[in-house]
Amino acid sequence: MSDTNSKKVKITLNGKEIEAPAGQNLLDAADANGVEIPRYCYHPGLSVAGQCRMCMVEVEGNPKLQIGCNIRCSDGLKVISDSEKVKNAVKWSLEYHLVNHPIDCPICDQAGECGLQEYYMEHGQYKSDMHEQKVNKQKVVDLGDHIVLDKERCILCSRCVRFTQEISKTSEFGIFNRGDRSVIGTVDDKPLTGNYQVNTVDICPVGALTSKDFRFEQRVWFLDETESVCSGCSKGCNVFVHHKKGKHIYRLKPRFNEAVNSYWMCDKGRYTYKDSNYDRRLSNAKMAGVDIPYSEAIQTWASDLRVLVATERTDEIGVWISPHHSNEELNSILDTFSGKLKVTKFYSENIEQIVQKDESVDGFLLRSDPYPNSKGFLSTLQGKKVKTQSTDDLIQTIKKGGVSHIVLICPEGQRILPEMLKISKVLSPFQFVIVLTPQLAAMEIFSAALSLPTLGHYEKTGTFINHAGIVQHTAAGFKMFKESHSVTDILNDLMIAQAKPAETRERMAT
Amino acid sequence: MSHSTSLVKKTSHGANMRPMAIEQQPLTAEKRLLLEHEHVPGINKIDVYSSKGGYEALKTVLKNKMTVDAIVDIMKKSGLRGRGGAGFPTGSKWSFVPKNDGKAHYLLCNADESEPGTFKDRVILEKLPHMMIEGMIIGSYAIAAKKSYIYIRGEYTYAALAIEKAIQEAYQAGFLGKDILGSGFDHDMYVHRGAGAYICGEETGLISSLEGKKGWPKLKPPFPAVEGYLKSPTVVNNVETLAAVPWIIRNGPEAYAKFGTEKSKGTKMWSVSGDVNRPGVYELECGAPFKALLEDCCGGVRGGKKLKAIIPGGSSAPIVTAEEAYQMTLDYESIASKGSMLGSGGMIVLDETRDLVQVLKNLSEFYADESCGQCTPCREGTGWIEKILHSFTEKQARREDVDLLKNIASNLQGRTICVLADSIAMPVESYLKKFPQEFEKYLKKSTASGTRV
Repeated sequence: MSDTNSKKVKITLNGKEIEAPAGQNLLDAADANGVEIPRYCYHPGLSVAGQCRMCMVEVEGNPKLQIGCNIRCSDGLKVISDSEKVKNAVKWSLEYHLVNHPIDCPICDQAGECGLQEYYMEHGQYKSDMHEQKVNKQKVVDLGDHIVLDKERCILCSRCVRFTQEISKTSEFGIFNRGDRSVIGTVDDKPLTGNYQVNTVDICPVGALTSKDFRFEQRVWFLDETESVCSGCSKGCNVFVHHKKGKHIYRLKPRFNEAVNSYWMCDKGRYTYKDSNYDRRLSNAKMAGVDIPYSEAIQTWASDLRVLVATERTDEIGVWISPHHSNEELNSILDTFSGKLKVTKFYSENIEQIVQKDESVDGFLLRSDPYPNSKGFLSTLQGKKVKTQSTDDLIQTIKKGGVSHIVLICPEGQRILPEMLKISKVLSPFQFVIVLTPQLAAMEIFSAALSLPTLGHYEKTGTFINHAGIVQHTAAGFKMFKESHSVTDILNDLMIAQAKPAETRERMAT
Repeated sequence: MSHSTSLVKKTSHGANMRPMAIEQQPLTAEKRLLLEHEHVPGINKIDVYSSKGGYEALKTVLKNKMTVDAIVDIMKKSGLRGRGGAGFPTGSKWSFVPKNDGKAHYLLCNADESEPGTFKDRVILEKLPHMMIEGMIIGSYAIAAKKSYIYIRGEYTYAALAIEKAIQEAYQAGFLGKDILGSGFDHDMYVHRGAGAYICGEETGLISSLEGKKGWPKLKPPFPAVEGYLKSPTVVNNVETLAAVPWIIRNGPEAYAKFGTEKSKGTKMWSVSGDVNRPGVYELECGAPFKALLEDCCGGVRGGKKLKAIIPGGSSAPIVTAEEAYQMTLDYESIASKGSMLGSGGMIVLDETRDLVQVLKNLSEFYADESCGQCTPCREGTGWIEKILHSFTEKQARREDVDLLKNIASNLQGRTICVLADSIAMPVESYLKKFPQEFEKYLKKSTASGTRV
């Protein structure tokens, strides 16, 4: 929460002159210049507490060591963070943190991303002088659906207390008792409420607050990290996807973006990865429930298309789409069906209405529009001069026999399934149904159809436009299943196969 | 002035007053400015207080429409320093409050008096409440505060009642409320009772507590004079400091500054406890010899024993050996030259039979218990010190524990938001430095080896 303005000031840090915005927090200015001043209680998204005493620095003109987190950059400020005096102070501050810490790293879920471990390597005493009985506190305190608290591991930095006071405004956490009997907790260990609980786990520098969803699932040093944007609503919170070699997603963590979500994200969004995870995914192309190779699936689809094209019956094609897709995917869908195949029958939910009614659900991040790219969806359709009809219209058209070739581009998520179920009920053997989906459940609804696995949301490369019109980019870092492809790739392969069947077969065989 | 020589009859105790040594007649070694009329029956009532010159200072200030600068100037000239412990010049403190900033200002009276060994404010609160109230109204006028609060420690039941009653009387007499003495100055005064936490006697801990929060000291900057109670400019003064204000206004700053030494002006109240014949509260001119307090006022060490050491300014002050004490005069500089501090003036006298390791262990228990738990070094360090000292008395100390104690203590000082950590670190350092033989005695008895758990 640094109140900075655009004016730049010159400060001297460890003898080197650096520039920083006037009023910027010294720790942030140091970070920006590659100097790491250790800290536990300071968090740039929260007020300054000054409790952990790790960020001790020497300030010219002051005989006593000062805490860096309570210093704002001003012209002529001279700070030393690497003197022996400072190093000794930091070493002792860390020692005080460890005096009553249980040091149960082998069974602690934070191991590998723990502030105590990290700083110990750099600032540790390497020889403990503590020969006394440690203070014992309560372990494994259940704080509701998402969080488990270990009061003994807690270093009382008060980040979670300040988060519930300042950000989630639920004021649930407090520090009880005093001296070395102090503990973090909720009144009577009441469960936490609200949709932002797990942020306290993110900002907890040690293993005191752990996420029920993630704890004991995976050691963090086995995790890979990919940047993405949450698929849970139109806010588009920036996230890190933590997965193991792309085969299993373990968690999402908020990624800082001042313009969108700052340092936070909601719990609902945090669990969207579950719908993109391996156990809910369609891994192979299927025809009537039987695995078939991807190339064969494309050929099957292409041959039906060829007949329609040859007999000029492409108006019998109906395409169902949603704003769950990136702008690039939507573009290629429209290019293929509207542009090349002259399809006119597009169906979707009433996105215009959803966008009009879109509002913040809780006054903070979560929004009522459940799609990550509604704005992109509307503008892409407008650009291609395509209009969509409702799902009910599709059902009516199917009943009337107006479509014989139905393409359902169905994303992951439970929300979409009732809609799909409605469509599946009116289908008859006279329609050729192709389902492009990453979701196993969607394939199961259309068990007689041709199903092609697409990429999950967190594997996609593309752009998404959030509710405020901010275009955000996601970069693919992994691909969960060899046989799954992006909608764009599938449609490209389809068009090639439709035009030159033999060549495609050859390309896909290699 | 006849304050020190007037002989008065010993007064009977008020119905709800407990006996205190102070009720004895003034002693020749004393210089009573604040306590001049302490013995007058009914001095806690407004009419008696007024008959002894009470509220004259307030009238002088308000009727003459003295400017804020003029009052601050008087306080600066008087040389009055904060009597709560830090000894910060009162005039300067008042002058830091911004003028005409459009914000509400507050004066808070720190009557939390929770430093072990200190009970001087209690005398003023119980017996001379009007003197403090008068000082508070003048102080509030000087910093343009329309509201002031007396934060009184929860254990001071009688004192809280006495103050409440005195405030009522002051309202009735028109010294509080709207348009005081026709000056246009409005002022309201409230009593807030603490709940028994030492840390709430710390300036900013007191402010947090008064705000209804946990009594955690606040980060400085911002200082209370700029952003204190309810984020408004606030001055926090000790009871004794505020009680000195009417005398200074009435008699002029020069008269006050005539007493004392160059850097310690006026008089200081001392609450003496421990191994003396007459423990109690005494008011002495700053710079008076220690012997005058110990022997003339307190009747010497109890039981004819020899003095071993004194803790001069409340339990957090570093210890002073008997030899140093006898060379010492009772002022800020002299006590500092012996490596200690005048602090609150809560003097604890220890005779030759006292075991200083036990004393230090006892103190460490207090500070470990009272650490608010906000800053890591203090939260963990105070408890650590307590455990190590406990191992001494349990014959489990290791030789390296002496150095460890020194290391812990030196790495607590100046590393925390408030000075509670220093308050145990300084005694630890001084006891180890000045009385190493006391610790050696325990080391010889120790049977420990390696880790104790």
